[in-house]
Amino acid sequence: MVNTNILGVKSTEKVREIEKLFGEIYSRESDAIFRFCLLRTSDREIALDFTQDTFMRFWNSLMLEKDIKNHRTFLFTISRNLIIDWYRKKKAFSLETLMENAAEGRSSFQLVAPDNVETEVEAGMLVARIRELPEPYSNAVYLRCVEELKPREISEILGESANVISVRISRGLEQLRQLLHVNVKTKTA
Amino acid sequence: MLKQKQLKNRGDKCPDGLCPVGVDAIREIILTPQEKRAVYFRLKDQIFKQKQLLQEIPLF
Repeated sequence: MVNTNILGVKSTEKVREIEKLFGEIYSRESDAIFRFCLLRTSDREIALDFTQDTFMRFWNSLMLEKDIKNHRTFLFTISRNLIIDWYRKKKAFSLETLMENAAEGRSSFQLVAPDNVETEVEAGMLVARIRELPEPYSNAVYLRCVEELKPREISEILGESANVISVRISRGLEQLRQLLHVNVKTKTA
Repeated sequence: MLKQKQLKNRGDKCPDGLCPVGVDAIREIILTPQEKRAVYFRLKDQIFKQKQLLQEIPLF
């Protein structure tokens, strides 16, 4: 079946197929992509923009018929690259944003269920601890524990071997436990 | 009867069983329905504009 003509212009049928797939993937993965962006930027508005940019790039890749083996890892890779670019452009970031948000009394890590304050605090604290981990570990731990990606999938996103990722997850978790332990100790002291 | 792997994958438990307690709370950080719709409509708009632009490009 011919879906594109010689100039690469797609048939309406093919575009509809892509649109359907795109819609399905958006409804399934947008929360995870948004969460990943929010964890890295600490700013809800920026995370929303990055989610949009990620899916726009994803759309373009679908239209270009790029060979995408795993949509999930592909989306995380796009997000990660966008965030890396953003970090390069804006070095002195989050502390100011966090302070501004605190002054305005709003939390970036707001949950959907507004009455679940305890869970919100718990999530916010754990996010902060994961962010405190040094970079080789932070992303690996997050993607494994929160997004439940396999080491092989994480290795595709972070551009390392699956073995390296497994080591990072295990060392990162060790450090995270120490951080949480220290935190509990200082709280109770 | 459920297989061992299926049992492991049930619920919000960490896949390795090593993650800290409360990691499932992070998964509750999601887009609000309004945000989800807003981003989707912005994307649709962007895609529509892109399609229009492509149609305007003369082929020859």
